[in-house]
Amino acid sequence: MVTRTEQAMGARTARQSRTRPSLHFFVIAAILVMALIGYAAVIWSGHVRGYEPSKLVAARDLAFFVPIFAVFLWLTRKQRYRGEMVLFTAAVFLFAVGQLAQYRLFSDPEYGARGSERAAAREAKAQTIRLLNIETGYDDEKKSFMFGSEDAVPQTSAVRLPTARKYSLIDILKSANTYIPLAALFAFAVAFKLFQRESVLLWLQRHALVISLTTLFPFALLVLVFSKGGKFLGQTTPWEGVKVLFLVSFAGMLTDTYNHLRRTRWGVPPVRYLVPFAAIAVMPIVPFFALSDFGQMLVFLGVYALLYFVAVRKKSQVAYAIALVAVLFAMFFATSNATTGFGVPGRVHFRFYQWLHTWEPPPADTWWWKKDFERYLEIKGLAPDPSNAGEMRRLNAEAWSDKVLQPSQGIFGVHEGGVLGEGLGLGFPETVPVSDSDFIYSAIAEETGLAGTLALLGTLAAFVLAGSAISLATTDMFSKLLAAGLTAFIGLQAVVNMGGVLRLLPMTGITLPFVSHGGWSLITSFAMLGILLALSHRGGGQQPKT
Amino acid sequence: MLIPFILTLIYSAVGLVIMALVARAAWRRRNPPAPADDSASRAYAESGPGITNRWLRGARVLAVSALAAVFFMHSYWLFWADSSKQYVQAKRLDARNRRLGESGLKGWVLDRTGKLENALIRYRSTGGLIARDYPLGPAGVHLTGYSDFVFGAGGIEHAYRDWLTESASITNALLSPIPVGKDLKVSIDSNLQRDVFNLIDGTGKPAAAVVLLLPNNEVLAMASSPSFNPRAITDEKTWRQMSTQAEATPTRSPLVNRALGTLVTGGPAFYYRPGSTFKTFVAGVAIDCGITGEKFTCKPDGFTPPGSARPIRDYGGESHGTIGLDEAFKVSCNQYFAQLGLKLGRQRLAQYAERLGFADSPGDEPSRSLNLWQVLHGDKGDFEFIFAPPGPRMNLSPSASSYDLALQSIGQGFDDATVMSMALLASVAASSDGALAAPTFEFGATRKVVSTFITPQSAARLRTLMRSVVESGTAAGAFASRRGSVTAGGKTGTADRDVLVYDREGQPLVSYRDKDGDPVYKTERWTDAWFIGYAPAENPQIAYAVLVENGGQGARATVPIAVQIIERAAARGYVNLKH
Repeated sequence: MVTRTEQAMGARTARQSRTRPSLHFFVIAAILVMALIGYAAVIWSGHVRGYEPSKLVAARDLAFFVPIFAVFLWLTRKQRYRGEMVLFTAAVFLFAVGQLAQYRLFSDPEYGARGSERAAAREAKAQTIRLLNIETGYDDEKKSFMFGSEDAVPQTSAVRLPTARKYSLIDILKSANTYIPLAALFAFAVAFKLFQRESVLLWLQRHALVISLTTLFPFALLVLVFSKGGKFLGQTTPWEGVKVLFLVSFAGMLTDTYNHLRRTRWGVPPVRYLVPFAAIAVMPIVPFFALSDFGQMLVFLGVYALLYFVAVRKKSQVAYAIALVAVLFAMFFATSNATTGFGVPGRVHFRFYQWLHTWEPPPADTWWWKKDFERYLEIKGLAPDPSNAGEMRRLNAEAWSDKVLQPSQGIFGVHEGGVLGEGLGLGFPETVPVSDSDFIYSAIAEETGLAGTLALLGTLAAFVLAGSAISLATTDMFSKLLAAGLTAFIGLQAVVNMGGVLRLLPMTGITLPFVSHGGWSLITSFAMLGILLALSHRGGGQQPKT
Repeated sequence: MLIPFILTLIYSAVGLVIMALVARAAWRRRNPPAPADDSASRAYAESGPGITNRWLRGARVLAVSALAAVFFMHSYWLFWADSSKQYVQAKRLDARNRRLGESGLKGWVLDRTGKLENALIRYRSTGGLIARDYPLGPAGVHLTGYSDFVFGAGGIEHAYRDWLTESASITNALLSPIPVGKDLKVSIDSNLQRDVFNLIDGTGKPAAAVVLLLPNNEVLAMASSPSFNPRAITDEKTWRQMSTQAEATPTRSPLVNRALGTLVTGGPAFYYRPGSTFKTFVAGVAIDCGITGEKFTCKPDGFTPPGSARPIRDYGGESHGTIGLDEAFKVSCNQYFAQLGLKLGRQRLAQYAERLGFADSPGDEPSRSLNLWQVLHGDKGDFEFIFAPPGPRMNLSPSASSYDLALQSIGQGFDDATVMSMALLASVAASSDGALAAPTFEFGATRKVVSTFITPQSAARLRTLMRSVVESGTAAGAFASRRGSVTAGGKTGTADRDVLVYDREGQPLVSYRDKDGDPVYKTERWTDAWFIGYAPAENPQIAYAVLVENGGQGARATVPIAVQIIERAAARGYVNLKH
């Protein structure tokens, strides 16, 4: 057990220069200024584009900086935090960028509206721009021709559409968007308090298997019994938090066995250690597979593989794993022309096909596509003659472009954004379905351009660097693996999300940590941040155990 | 527009500075010092965690490279996506286009008077809604086209899209997210256009007419019937039906601009036989070659070209006896011109046909007469896709027999022409220099000579022939009531062709099936009526061509329309009938 005095000594000697709270205080203040400018831009463009963004919501969003500063001061003053602060600042930056992007999207009455309401909102916006154009672009002759006299041009303010919903103070207080960030900050503080305790870490390490099993069963139950289409009641995913528990238990189990797994024969670890280990490691994947949450699966597998290789440190095993993945891929693509998936769901085939050929429709009778195509025809009320090849080809192309609407709109948005962006509130991210969560990267890219996303990517890189520095600084295997795992989880999740939007990877439907709109995902991300900071706070104050 | 954009630039700049500060801090402390305790340090390095750090550093490089890969992929979509044809094609369906189209104000299309009330395309405000409006409706749709976010645009809306959406004013471009486009002034007179359309539409048959303003060959009016309302495109079902029909049976489709032989959506449709109006061409060649003194005999049983068994007869089995060029042109004698054509020979005909842009050996697909039109504004490629008519053509290659040659001399057989190409022939005859000037749809074009067809003297001589048609020839009847007030020159035409017969669903009727079981479709013989010419007779100011499909004999169906066109044009000041 590390005493308070030892902590204080450590802070005075080796790590005196580790953290400069004043710099981070200044940077967070700069983030507040940046957010202020961003909200002003969105409100201004809303007026140009025909809607009135709610200033109350903007004030609420900016008010989040009060608890953020409070947590910052709590960390530095009350907790005498002496670990890595970059992570916290980077997370606040990402959070602020995400909040602004969400504010912009949800202010737009077209975004989130459906059917005729959506069309009405779109038209109302278009009319405002037209009137504005007539005001500023037409000469008096045309104005009086169109409206009888040049002064009769209707004022844009008269036709401007307020936001789809008017928010009152009560609405804002009741809104999940208000208390979720607060809950996230609370989760951060709790995680920080818990994980800096030696006893907690030791207990977690010793009971890794129990944690894994006791988490798995309620999780599986929740998923199999209550979930619908990958979502719990009310479109939430309360199982987001189990990611942390699985990661903790995996790190714990790995700490116990990695020395055995190192003893290889022909590059293969002893079977009596490997098999039970692999079986337990794969277990959490199963419920995610049942949820068709392939993004989460991909991130889990990636992080598990990374932790395994880092702990076991055997090049031969890396080679085997790469070979195995290559063989699996070869098998997958070899069977892609078959009439069945051999157990691989059609959705996976669809995602891969869409990744490689976004704008090239598959033949109408492809097994994983046929049903969707028929559903499309049904919804549209079309009954084409199957013998009319030209007609079928046209409809197939139409159905396909409808199906890939989200990814292609996302990429068009990235393209439109250019280097400097269209301007906040001046692009059309509302044409990308759910661009507040999975596709938030394309919304940011469209409106702030490559410059804005470079800031995002650079901050994520800083997060990864700082997170791995924490892992490097820890002296016991469990903390090291836990820190590496949490950092890798956030980094990999970000790469899978952004790569999916940009067609670097297949699209998987996963959120961008700290940035995307999402209740449990945000809370979990901040809890992870809390654990990372706790591990950093502990620093090297503990003797190596193994 | 400008202010939020500047705010965004500041936002991104502050973001980049913050990123740089955070990244610098992270970079400087990326490698933490080893534990201070010595004994711990050795154990640390030799056992597990210490060596693990090497692997961790490797993993870190991997993670940062993945983020760099994201950055490069982003750059790919910004800078290189445009080079992918597939991407460019898919981008056309971008939902942003619709928002841009609905929010922007394209330029107005004004007629040659420049008056707003005469605009061909404008914006209208009804009940607070600003909508693009086509005041001419069906009367001008083949010109104006239409514009839709799903089905694209046609006519001027497509041909001049670039010009109409190009920002007109800098202040507006700075203040508005989607700036106002430039106006376009076209050579059309919208009132005359409406009159001409009503005239041809009144026949109740498919018909087309073109009126050119001399000497620059500006198109004053260009009408085609049957027509459709530009709003038809807003109804998906109707539009789908119309475009399917245009593809399957273009001869019945209202989407065909019969004046140009093109589809309003772009692309060629079909040709007409010019009939006797083509004798203007043959007569012009004969005059220019000095072969005007020939007399040929026309017999009641027709003229049989050498090497052929089929005779060429005159309309209604008439026989004109032994006549000269003047008389033959006036009465439109087929036998005379068949013999004259053979006398001129394929080489001479080909030489003169080329000057008018005729191809002398036809391919299967109509080629477009590109580079003929004067395009001052907008994109030439877009313009030609929509408006360039199929190039007129003949078959003067060695594969054509003397019978084919004789038929082509009277505007039948392999002669393929459009109403526009015949109007241009009339404009050449009407010109003082016998030259073909490039036509245009734009106001302010100057005379641009493409090629000289015949000498000025030959043109004057040709005009005396054409004048005699109106004064005492085949067109004299319809002009009789206007004698003294309207003077003109012209040539009537009657052209036969076989067309498919359709049932009520639009399916072609099958006459019988041949021995392979392939259908042989039922056809009926249509007689297209033509009149081409110019007015007034002295110092011509306009040239025109009128066609009524299956209108019967040329003089009866089309000449009265031409007379009224001349009068309407005179009323609007384009023709000076007072001497």
